[in-house]
Amino acid sequence: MNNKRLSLAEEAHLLDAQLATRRLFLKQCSMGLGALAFSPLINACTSDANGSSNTLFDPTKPLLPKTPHLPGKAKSVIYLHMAGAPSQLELFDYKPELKKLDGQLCPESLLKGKKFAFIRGVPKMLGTIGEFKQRGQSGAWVSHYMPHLAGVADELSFLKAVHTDQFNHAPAQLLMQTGSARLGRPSLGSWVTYGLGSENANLPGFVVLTSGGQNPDAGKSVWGSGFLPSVYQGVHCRSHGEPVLYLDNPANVDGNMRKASIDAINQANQETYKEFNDPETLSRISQYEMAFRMQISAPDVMNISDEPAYIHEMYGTEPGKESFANNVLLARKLVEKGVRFVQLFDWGWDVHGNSTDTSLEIGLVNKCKQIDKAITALILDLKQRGLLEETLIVWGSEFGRTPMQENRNGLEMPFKGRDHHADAFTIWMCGGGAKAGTTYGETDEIGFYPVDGKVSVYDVQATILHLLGFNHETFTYPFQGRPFRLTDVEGTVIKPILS
Amino acid sequence: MGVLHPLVIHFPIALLLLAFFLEVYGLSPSGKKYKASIPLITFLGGIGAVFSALSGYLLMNQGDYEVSSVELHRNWGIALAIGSALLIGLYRFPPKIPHIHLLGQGALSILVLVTGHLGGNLTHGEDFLSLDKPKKEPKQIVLNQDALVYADIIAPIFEEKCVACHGKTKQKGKLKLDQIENVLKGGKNGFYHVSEEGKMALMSHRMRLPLLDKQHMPPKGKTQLTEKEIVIIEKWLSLGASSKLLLKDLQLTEEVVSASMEEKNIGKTADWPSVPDLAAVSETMLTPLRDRGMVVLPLASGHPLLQINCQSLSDFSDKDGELFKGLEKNIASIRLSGTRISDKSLKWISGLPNLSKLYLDNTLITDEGIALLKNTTELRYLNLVGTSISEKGLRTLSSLPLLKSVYLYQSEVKIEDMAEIQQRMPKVYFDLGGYKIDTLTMEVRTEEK
Repeated sequence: MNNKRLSLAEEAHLLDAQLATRRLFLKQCSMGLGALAFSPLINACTSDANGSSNTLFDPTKPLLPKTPHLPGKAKSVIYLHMAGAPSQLELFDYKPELKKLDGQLCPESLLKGKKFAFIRGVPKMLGTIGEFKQRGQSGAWVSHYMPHLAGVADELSFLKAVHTDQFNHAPAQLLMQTGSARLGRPSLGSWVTYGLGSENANLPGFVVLTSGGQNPDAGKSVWGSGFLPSVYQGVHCRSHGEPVLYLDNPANVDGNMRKASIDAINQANQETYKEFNDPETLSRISQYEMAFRMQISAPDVMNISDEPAYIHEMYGTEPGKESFANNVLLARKLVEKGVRFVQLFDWGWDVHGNSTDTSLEIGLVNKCKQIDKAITALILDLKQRGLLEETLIVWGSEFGRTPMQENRNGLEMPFKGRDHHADAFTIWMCGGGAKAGTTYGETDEIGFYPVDGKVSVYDVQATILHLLGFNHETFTYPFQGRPFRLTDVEGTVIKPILS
Repeated sequence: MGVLHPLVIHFPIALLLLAFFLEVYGLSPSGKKYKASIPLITFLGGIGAVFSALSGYLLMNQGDYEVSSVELHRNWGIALAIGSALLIGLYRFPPKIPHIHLLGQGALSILVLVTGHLGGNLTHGEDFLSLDKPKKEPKQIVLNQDALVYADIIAPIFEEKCVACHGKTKQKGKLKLDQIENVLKGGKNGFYHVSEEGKMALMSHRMRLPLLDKQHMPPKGKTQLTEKEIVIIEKWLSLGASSKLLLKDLQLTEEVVSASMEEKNIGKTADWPSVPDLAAVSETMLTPLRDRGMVVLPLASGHPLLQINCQSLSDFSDKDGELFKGLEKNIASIRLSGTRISDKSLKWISGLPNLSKLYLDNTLITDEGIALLKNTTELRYLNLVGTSISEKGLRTLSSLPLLKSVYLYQSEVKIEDMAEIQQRMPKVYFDLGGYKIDTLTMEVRTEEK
């Protein structure tokens, strides 16, 4: 440019002339459109919490109760996940034909093109050990493994032909709980708390309780929040000792002092938020505040020893111990107080037959003893409190077991056991708008493949969301430039089991 | 390439009209400075026109359209492409004729408008632009058992919801639904859909796909078929799709139809009162309740009925009933579990005409209070767990026509009195609770090795 200073009029004239040039027009066009196209990419990984009307997430009040799309029948969920996969052929899926085939070699036609986790070569068929009876007025099949549950069979709604596409524990658990066999998606409980918030501001909206000595194989991701704000992840309570650590004030610290220190921390966080504008900071602030409120409310709710003796008798609970029964009772207390989603994992159901604990004859009996009475008590206890109508109980696992006896490494096993089976297994629901006393779906004569009423893991998820009032196809969260949903591109609501 | 046609055409339309406008504007002194840009705009518009014509020609040959109806649009389009090429030539080698560019642009604009209009008619239907369009009343299907299924019921449905894309002028997927012969012929994929479950009419399959499925028909965004219509079309197809079938041959009962309707409207349940005329309450009216610590939510987004939860408020008492003034009609569910209310509160509660669910568990209410509830005729659910209600109070509930379940665990109601009460109210489920579970043992044969 020349060094001569332009007068105001000349400058205006120059700009006007520039505006009329083709060069400037094209330049602006290309740059402008490029910038336009690029801008969503910059924000792709953030959850665009600033002003997007597409999310239900309010970082200052992340757990504020919210309304679903439709009037839902269920207001809360207790999900009982038997990690390891119990044998549906011993508990609910009665196959007399299989009993006749016991000990015979499995026909090649069943093995063709199939992959098993442990079965090699040609295994033998294994007849069911369960002694089945049709129970109640609905005539649902429940075996002698579950004598108490058999008494409330008319309350249950069975899905007998659920299938998944994963035959190893961790990916199958992830698929069941997060809708994807890979890590990184939010869990069912996170979706529900994100969509509905919690009616109790003093407790977490999504509580996880584990028993059986180990966490599920897929680790804590099965209750993770994935790309949803982290405030929606499950709060894992310890199963013995204090359920939540450090709820009591340390020695020589009183409530006021505690409050003052939390206020100070929050103030520091507030300043961080002003500087970096990260909504996760706001979540953290609200979590601190909730933790403080939990100091007052949680010890009361989390303590099952205050329950009367006949309730302990009913559930078979022993306060202080780590047990599934204790967790079930705790789940009832939490739901009663307005917690949205209680997820129970019970470990130890992987009945391969390679040791006493994993045998169908002994291990499975012991596991069933641990849950049978407690689950029955949960159903009846919620019922007598008038809460079963609005509490959905889901019992299930990540997959089922084969009709063949496992022959790990081609050898005969010391005990009776079955391998992982993804093609057909049983899940049941109860209360919360599931139709009591129904059985939907049927497997073939040996329980290998579904023949009728085949439903997928996604269908189960869609149904749970439907009962809570969500349309699973429009319940989405924007992430990486596209809306995500729990059921991804799959899932149909299983209408025959809706009441 | 053909599918680009609807996209590409917008460029020549806008650019060529703009060139004409600038040509006219150039007649005035202030418009002079833009004159230089006209050849460029015309050039770009001309290229667009040629591309449009090419892509249009390809689209036509894809066979979704009746050749005769497209012909006119095609001819005008070709003329437009040639005209714009000529005009570009006129700018490059300007002849010495006054206003030749203006005249050329004017003529071309007329070509643009006519071609565009003809194209629009093809996409949106002949009567797209007419202002006095007769408003189509959706035809009600009357179940006159002697009606001809195709002529009287299905043809009008197709006419209303399908032929715009599958008709005489336009045949997407080579499917025509204007005549019964064409219906039976099917589209480019034939009439049948063969799946694992067997053979069914492709049409039934497409209609039943989820709305978000790309193959679902009618496509997302267009008027959908109602459940009743789908049921009738399906039944007709499965019975051979003859034009002679009468409605009674389908053996559709009112119940079948209405049952499938209900299934469709899964959001509308008998759990809540039907309140078609009730308006939703403004958020500001709910603020005092929320400030008091209650959870107040509509049943579903946009629903006028509210559910209110006061459970966590241990200091909630009779005088808080004041807060609900003006909301009486909107309250469908109220949870007062464990609050300090007494019989006095039943006064305002009994004034809630749409109350469907009421939780009074673990409160101080008595039989006298419960007797006030006899006018809440929409009540379906009543939780009296842990109260001093006795069979005397229960008797007063017999005037509630919709009452479905009453929970009485830890109340004063005795099991001996229940037989009589159940007789008075046979439809109601009473739960006295107090379940005991005997410890059962599993008799298992253990075959130790």
